[in-house]
Amino acid sequence: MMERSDVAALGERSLAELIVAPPEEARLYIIRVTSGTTGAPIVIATGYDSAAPLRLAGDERVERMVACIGSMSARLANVLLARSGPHERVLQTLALDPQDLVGDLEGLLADYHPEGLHGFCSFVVRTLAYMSKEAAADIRVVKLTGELLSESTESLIRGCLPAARHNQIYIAAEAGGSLAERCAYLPRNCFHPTPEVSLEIHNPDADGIGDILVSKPLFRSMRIDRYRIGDVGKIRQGTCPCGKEATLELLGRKGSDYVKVAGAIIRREEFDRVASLVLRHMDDYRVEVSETLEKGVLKGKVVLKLYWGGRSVTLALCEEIAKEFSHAVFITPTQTLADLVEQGLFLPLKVEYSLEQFLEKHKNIKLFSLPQL
Amino acid sequence: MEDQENLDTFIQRIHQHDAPFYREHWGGVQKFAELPVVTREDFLKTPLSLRRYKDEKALIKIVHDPAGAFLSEWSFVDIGREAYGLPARRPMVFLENPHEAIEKSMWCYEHGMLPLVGEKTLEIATYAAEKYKIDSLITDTSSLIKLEPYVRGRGPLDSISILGERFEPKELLHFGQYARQVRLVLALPETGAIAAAALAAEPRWEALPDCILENTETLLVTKKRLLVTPIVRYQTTLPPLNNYDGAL
Repeated sequence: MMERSDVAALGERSLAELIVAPPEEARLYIIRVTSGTTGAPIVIATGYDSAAPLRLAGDERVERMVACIGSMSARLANVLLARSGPHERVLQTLALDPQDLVGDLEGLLADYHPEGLHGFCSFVVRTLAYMSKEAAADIRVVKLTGELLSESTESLIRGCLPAARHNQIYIAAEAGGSLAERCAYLPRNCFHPTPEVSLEIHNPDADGIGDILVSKPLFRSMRIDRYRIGDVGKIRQGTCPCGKEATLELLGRKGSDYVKVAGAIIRREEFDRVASLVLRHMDDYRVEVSETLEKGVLKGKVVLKLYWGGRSVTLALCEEIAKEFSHAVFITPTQTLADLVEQGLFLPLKVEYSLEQFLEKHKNIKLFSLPQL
Repeated sequence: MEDQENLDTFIQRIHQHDAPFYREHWGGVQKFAELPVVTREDFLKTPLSLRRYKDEKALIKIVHDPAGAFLSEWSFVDIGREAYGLPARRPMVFLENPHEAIEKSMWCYEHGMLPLVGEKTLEIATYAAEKYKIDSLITDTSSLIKLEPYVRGRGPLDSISILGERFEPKELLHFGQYARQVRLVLALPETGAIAAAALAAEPRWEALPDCILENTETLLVTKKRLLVTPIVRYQTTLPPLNNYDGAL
């Protein structure tokens, strides 16, 4: 089984091989760089399967796409795939940057007249705020990726893009991008592996839930083999009406170095830091993170669950802890949770006491993302 | 003479095209030297759909200007024809503007090079540059200044191409020690590369192939290729180039 450090080492090997033997066809490869959220970034050379450009354009023969992707290397990979598709199919790509999300964008999108939207759920949702009803009505396909898709986010997007077929792609930059894709018959967060990708569950519990392991070719003869990607899921049994056998149900981030929500990253390390400083009235804690819709606006929701020897505490103390914790915990390098609450991006922190000790299904997990609201 | 004939044919082709932008802007004027200039304001007020002269696989960029924003579409083939960088084995593209960074990375692909595009966070960008052992840079002045600790701490690169609209060459001179070749490339997002010069206190600018530069109060640019939105007598806000005599 491979861990993140093994994939990082594989990345180094892929780059070393690239230096010794440069590619004859550069456009079949991409240098991917992870965000470094969970430690040092991983830099890796990777190819893509031959069907990837076709999957990007989709059966709808979308000709004008908008990509809503934060990472530069992932954004470039998207544009490269658009470039690499069949010649007879014109594909134009507008790769948005978060700094483009300003007043002018609505007019620009109306001018561009996109037929497809592709990208991170939270980025797509933010982009929709700059799309007129007329422009949104012409979107025929939306492909979501990067984050667990909540019911509220999906329903918000469906409401904004009434004519769009929804698709979802399970990706990991360090594993070379696309791993699995949702077909028309599957509910959200369920996927069939893309060609040459194999997914399995390691050490499943009684419900079949466990760590997701990924195997796939990466670069030339190099492979990722049974890489513990850091997500939790289960394999659904039975043949899908689309004919595919293997179906992965993604249940969330495990291990919980971090959880992505509402475009922000909740880091366990930061919660540990603040918990050690602020939380006097507890023996243990858990954090549940999710997204919710409030008056049509997607917001992050954080619930801090505390255990203190089975004791319950007053509502006033919960509110006091919530206030102190919110002002101390940084969600971005410069903004605390309280700042993001004030900006309307997150709901106020909720603090709850548990009378029972937390179960240790997975060792030392404190941070959970909740797919269902 | 042959050049003039080609230019006349090029102008005629634009006149006869379905896209109305230049035809309406020019009225009945046919001679190149008499064509009314076009400005960024004209691009700002004209939707891309009315100034799209060909339909190819393309990248759409958003060009932000204090007066607003507009779309600039570049076919990948045309991106490849620009002179943004120099041949390299492991180029890194590190630019302030993310649209330009993606475009210049695609320029690398069009030239058979596998680029590393710099992430926005400097630490991640330099970490990746070290890992990939980059041998050349396509960058801009502000990004290069940020990268200076990295380029200072490694062996010389093969080349650095500094892209921009304006340069302070004297402030860049010391970067000459970090690469075997450092060049300045005058470029605008909507026109592509216009002129290039080796880094020097007083650079000797040369118009790039397919570019016609006219030194008026400001620099007028024409690209002799049918771009998605052609550039014909485009009035920039750039000062005239000192070493360029303005001859067609």
